[in-house]
Amino acid sequence: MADLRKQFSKIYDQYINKIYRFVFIKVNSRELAEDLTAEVFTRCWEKFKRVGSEGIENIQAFLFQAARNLVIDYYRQKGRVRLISTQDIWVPDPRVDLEKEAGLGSEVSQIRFALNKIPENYAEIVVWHYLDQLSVSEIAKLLNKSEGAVRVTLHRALKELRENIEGV
Amino acid sequence: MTDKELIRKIQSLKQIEPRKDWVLLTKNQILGEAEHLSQPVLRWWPKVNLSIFLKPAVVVPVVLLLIGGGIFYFANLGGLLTSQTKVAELEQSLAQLEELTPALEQLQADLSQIKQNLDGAQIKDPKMVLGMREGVEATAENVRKIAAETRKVVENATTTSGGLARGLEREKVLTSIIAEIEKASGDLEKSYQEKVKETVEYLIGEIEHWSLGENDQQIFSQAKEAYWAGDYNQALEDILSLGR
Repeated sequence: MADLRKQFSKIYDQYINKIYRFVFIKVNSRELAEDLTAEVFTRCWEKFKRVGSEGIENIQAFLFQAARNLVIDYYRQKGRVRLISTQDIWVPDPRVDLEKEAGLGSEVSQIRFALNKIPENYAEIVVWHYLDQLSVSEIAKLLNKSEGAVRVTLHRALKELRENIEGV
Repeated sequence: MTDKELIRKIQSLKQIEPRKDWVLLTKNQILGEAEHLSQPVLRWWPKVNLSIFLKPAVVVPVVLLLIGGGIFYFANLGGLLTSQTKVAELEQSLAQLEELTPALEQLQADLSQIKQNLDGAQIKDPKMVLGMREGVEATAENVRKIAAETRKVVENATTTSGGLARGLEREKVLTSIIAEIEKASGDLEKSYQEKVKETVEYLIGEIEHWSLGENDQQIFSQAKEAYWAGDYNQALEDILSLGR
């Protein structure tokens, strides 16, 4: 059990930021992103205890899939509409230089806003590939699609994202 | 926009990160719960049964705190901890506890900065003042959670550490930091309320000179009543709904 906990502790440290970010981009709320991310890791740990590290073929895929399903369930159950907001009502991290923060913050808001306007499957692929550095092959496995299909989607997603940012 | 520029924009999202104190707290809650379920009785000190401390979300920090004071002590007693696995587990737990103090100190520093930001907020910008409410409330809630968790750890450790110097020292430090954080959080909430009050007073003074329609006059009266009743948030919300 100690070994399992140690292994899971490493997994947690490795993926917590990625999963939190993935959820946050979808829900646009820090509090909700925290709740859903905690639930993702709780579920993963429950499974990990039952089947061990060998029992989960691809832990990264498992975590992203769980996060995806939880966000879908959340909106389905609550009948909520996805929030689209250019403002994140939260006090900025005081350690970051305020001027720099202001410039970078607006870029983050702009891209988040644009990602929320393109189809969800497009946004996911863009985030996984360009932000989380997943290869096309890994995304294909994650989505159970061919690599060719992922490449095509990625191409269309970038095009649509660019159009949204440029306001065409 | 070139592909390169677009990708750079996408990568700016890397700035989105969870709060460090939340990351640590959540990890302890998930893995602490697991230890509770899987190890109903943990005996590593002869004649002392630690199972009573195996409560969700408490177990890992408690064990760690005990170990923090005790691991070096026991190691020098000549190998009471014979299992290498257990030692490794304890060391890992100790490392997790070690992370708690800087996380709390960071929270303390953040609270201070948030208060400064709040104090500097312009009362002439009511939307900004109201917009800070979510942040202030979430911060206060987080502080309450963290304080409760830390107190549990400290209370249990006080009972069980048996006067081990290193354990007691850590307890003192944590208790002191938590007390300061709670005070800072209380000050922050007071500052926020004060800022809302100032903003509402300023706006009421301004709006008194406006000519309002019938509907807005009614809303404005409600806002003033809320202000007189001391419900400044409601008053501000009412004022911001004028003209809609």
